[in-house]
Amino acid sequence: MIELMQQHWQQITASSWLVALSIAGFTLGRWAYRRSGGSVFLHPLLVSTPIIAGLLYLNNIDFEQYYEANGLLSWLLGPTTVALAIPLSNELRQLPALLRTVSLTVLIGGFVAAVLALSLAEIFNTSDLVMLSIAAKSVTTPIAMGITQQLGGLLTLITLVVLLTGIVGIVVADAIFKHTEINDERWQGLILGIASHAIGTARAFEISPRCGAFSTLGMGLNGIWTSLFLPSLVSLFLG
Amino acid sequence: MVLAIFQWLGELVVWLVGLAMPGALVGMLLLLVTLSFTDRLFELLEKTSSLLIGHLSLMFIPISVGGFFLGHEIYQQFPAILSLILLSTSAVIFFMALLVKWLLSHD
Repeated sequence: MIELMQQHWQQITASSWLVALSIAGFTLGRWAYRRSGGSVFLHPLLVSTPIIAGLLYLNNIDFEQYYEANGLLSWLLGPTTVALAIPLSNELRQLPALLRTVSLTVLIGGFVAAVLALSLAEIFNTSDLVMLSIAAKSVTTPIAMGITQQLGGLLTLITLVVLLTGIVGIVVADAIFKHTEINDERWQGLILGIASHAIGTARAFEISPRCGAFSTLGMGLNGIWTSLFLPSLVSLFLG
Repeated sequence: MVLAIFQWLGELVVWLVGLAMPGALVGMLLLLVTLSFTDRLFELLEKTSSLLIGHLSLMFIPISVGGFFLGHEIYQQFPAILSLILLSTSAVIFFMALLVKWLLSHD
């Protein structure tokens, strides 16, 4: 336990001026995003990351150095995950009435997401390593990394795949919800959370706190559920 | 600070029980249980938590930049990976939208 706290402390204190680069990129990205009236194609992450990567290339700074220097920001993901309990506890009071729809959507939706991803990997004939590294794509990054490590996939690839899944999800969701007439913010949030984890959740909180809380619920439940069934499902596909 | 303590409690539980779940997630569940017993903690944490949650995208920037620094072998399979993500994510959202509709109409 003491070791863990020391590890966290080192992660925070390794931070340097490169954090400013991330914050500047985020501020620019958010400005463009708001300016455009919240267009998903100008999501802060889509605008800021290419600019930051470009600046790192130009200044000959390698990614490891940049990532280590941003330890503070990555560390904050932990307490923020815990903080999600606050909006969640607000919504949980009305949950009993909705329990059937919520639990069935998570159980079936989370399973279908993994089966679809693995089947398409099989059809596109990707390598086994890629298959192992995309299986956990609908799960939030910290859980996906844990699962992928257990499966023996690439951690650098799963983080990118998780990110792209999140972005694709928020890009296509609006049109799908309109087409299928899902107008209730609670169900929009739940679906965003199951399919697009934290990026979907960040988007859902922009729609409304209630939408965000249901997205948190979908993300959390799907993370737990997927970590339970995925190892056996993957061995079925590779076997 | 309270949030970090719950995260560490979560890590502790994971370590003691040997769970495959991340500590922060267990910490969130612990806080959720605690919140159902007391209202004071809710008021104390409300402001901080909405500030943190409002900046969620910022915290994903460092790891996301890593996507521009992957090796050649991965980039060769990238068209397949990209179409896979596009197809499966759209399909699963569409599927869940229909599922929710069906479940609601058969309540």
